[in-house]
Amino acid sequence: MHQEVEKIRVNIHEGITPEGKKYGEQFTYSEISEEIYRASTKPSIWYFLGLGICVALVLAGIGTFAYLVIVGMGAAGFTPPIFWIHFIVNFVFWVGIAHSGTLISAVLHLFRSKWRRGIFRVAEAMTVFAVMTAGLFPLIHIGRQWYFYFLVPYPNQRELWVNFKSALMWDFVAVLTYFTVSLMFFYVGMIPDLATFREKAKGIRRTIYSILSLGWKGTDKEWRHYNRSYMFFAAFATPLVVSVHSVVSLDFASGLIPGWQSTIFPPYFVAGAIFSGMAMVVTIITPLRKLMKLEKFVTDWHYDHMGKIILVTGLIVTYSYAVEFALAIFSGNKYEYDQFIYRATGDYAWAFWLMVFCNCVVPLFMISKKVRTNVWLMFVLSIFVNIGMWFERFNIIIISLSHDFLPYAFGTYMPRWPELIITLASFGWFFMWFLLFAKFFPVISIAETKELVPKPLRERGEH
Amino acid sequence: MKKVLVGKFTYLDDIEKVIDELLKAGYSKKDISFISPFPVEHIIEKLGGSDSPVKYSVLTGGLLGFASAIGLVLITSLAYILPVGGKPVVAWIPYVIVMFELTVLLGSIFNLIGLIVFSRLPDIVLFIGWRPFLPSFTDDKFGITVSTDRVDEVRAIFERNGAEEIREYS
Repeated sequence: MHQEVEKIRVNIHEGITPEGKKYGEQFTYSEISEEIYRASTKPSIWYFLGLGICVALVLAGIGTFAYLVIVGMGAAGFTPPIFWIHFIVNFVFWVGIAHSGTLISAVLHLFRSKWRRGIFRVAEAMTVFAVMTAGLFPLIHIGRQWYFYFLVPYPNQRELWVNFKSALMWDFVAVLTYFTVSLMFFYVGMIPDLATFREKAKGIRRTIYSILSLGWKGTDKEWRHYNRSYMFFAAFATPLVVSVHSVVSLDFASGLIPGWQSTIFPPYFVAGAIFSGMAMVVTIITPLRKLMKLEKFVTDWHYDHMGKIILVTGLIVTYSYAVEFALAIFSGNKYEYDQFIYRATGDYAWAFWLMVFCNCVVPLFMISKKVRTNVWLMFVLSIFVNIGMWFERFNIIIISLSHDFLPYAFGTYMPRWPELIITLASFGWFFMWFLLFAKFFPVISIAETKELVPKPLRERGEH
Repeated sequence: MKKVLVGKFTYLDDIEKVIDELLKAGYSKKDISFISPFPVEHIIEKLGGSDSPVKYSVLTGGLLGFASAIGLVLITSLAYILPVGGKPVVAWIPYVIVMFELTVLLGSIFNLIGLIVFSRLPDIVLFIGWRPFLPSFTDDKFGITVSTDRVDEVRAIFERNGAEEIREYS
């Protein structure tokens, strides 16, 4: 396994394997196009089984949502004083998941990192679908969904305007911007690959790829504008990575609830978002590379790097937890102190310690390179991180609300079946879009992978 | 009457020789087009540099986004006054977030528009199939197209430098 990592790294950086063979002998341009096209067109029975489960979950979620609309939001487990329940936990969780996609595609692009090429398309798709999932939860949560357009600033006869001093409006603007920019970035990055698919496909698929690829040919003029445009997208998306989850964290930090009002929240949330997002990339890409036979393109070299990012962001998250406790202890604020003692020893102590185990202990295994390059072990660890990060949001939202200032206002929350089904349905919704994407679009960038192959030169010999 | 010749090549050093010979023969960079499945920086550079007017489009969008955000927050604050806790009606610090987001949003939208306009996309004629273009140019081959009225001369340059296929379009 160790040897394999070294081999791939040499291939990419120097174009020569340790055996003295050219990288191009392992992958020709044609093979890259063909293998990625084949992966998108011939899914196995497991694909359809997975898609069926996802669609069933989505239908169950739609049915439950309809039930909540008809019966009222009281059917969910809203219990005074806890009025931000699973729906907001899920919102923050999915917005967090969306983050590493832009990190990989934008930040690592600006740093000219080569290892991103095998995985960035999957991460970008994950970003778009995760924001689509996150956006559903405020809509479900507001109760009267038919008034959601009140969030949009538009002239109306009531002469009312939205309040841009509210953190919730910042959230609306930030998430909308993030979704739009991520979608455009995702699409622009795919145009050359859609042109490759266009030339390989037949019938209706060819027509669809022709329209989506905008008649891309790959002329020097097109590439010149494309490269510059892509760089600008990356430059815009990089501060967005930091801004969006910072803004989401301000939903809490600008509140007065103990456990929420903290200046550490923006960096703490951004690190947590990258941590959970990268773990979700591992969770998704591991079965995907197996089912679509993409092991040649997504190697343990990629896992090694993803593991390093999970490890570093995991350590930042652990440090943030420690700082939160230190601030509570040394601030002299009794309510803040009580809140953190309650987190560790109160009704939800199990959730707190589960979070600590998953987010602080599990990533430490990734210090070992053997662990980072063991694909299935990384898959298992990434699931622990996903669970841990969901419970981090549970701890911040539910525990803080259940134990605020006055004992008579304390309460506990237990989810009822509507929240549980809608939570499961959100995973079905996310993976449904992902599976559909994998069936019809290039899951790995063809053009960027070809750039890794040494350029064909006659004086060097046959390509 | 000018015709378009398209040549298919496997090797990039052949492409460079073809471009050098065409430029020496008096063709302008505008008459020559290089087609590749991925960006080949040094050849793109040779045919006109890596700069692109997309940057002006992005700048326009960014400034427009920033200005529209200032207008939006000012109009909404002054049209519907919400005095809370003695805080200012027009509070610039929280508005920075809205300004930043709209700058990025409109800058990105104009970036996409700039890419489409300057690259002359969508190229509808490609769908009809007469455009000098071969499917393998998105796969593993490189192409050169030349707009010329000296067809034989260009054909000779292509053949001399290892063209695998040459097509002529009127």
